[in-house]
Amino acid sequence: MFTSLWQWLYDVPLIGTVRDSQFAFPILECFHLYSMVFLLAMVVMFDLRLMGVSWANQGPSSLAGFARQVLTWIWLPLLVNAVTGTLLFGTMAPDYSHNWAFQTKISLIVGGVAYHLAMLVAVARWREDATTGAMTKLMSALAVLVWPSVIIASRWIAYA
Amino acid sequence: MEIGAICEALETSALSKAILGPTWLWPALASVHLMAMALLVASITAFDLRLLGFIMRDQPVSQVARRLVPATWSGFALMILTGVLMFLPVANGKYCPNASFQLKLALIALSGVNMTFFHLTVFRSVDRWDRGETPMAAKLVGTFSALLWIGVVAAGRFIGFVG
Repeated sequence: MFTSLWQWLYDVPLIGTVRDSQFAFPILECFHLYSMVFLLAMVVMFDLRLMGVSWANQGPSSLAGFARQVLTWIWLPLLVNAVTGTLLFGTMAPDYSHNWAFQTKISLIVGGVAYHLAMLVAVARWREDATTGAMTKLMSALAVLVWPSVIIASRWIAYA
Repeated sequence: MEIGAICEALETSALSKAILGPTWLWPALASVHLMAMALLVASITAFDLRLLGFIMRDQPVSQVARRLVPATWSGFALMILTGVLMFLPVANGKYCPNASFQLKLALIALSGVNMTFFHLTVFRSVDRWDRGETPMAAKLVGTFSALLWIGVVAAGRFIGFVG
């Protein structure tokens, strides 16, 4: 699927520069990893709070207030990971696009971004004293697994 | 015993051979290592940013420390465990002579020194600045810590790219 798109990306001059450079790839990976730390931390904390885990709920902010804080910052690691991820993928796009572990990773990311952004925007509008019911807790317990699964899928790319 | 000989012995041990057995074990260890890294680096950096007064200003420093410590230590324990298991099978062939790996260990050690210094000196008087402006020494410790962990992540990533 999208074969010509991946080939076009592969041939973008900037991506060719990354491919030909000795250290551009690992430098981009450093940004990708460091940024991932904060993306994961914010989203996992958000899900843990929705699950009602007491360790996560010790802070003074309400669920709505916490969602607003996360929404203020989350776009930064999201943007960094999207840009560095696209550049890293581009250097091997035609090969990577056939890799089942990479396909799994991207599917989880697309689903995770859509779900968590929608959830963050929704929770940000909740009343300050709002708490979560059983259904939201259950949904969050599933959602909290998405981003760790992205990591697992990424570690299997080299073996797939 | 020379360091090279120790690494050689570790690499040829029965445990090292056992780790290389199942193909799924290495990516599984790497997965846990990365998840633990998120836990460790995020919790440490969050505390560093609190010391610098950038985030969680409405919460006392000592309370932020109490909340984050369980995350930091469980992340650290998981990283050491998975890190050692990934190190052993290629101790001599890949890691011991690798400049980036040596730098990574040195930066982790420096971060330990920085944290110990903080707890033995600056943090002792936390009662006086728990809610107010943090002292310059605390801000310096926070800056060093945040930068050191950026260095650890970067040095780790470069292991596969330097000789």
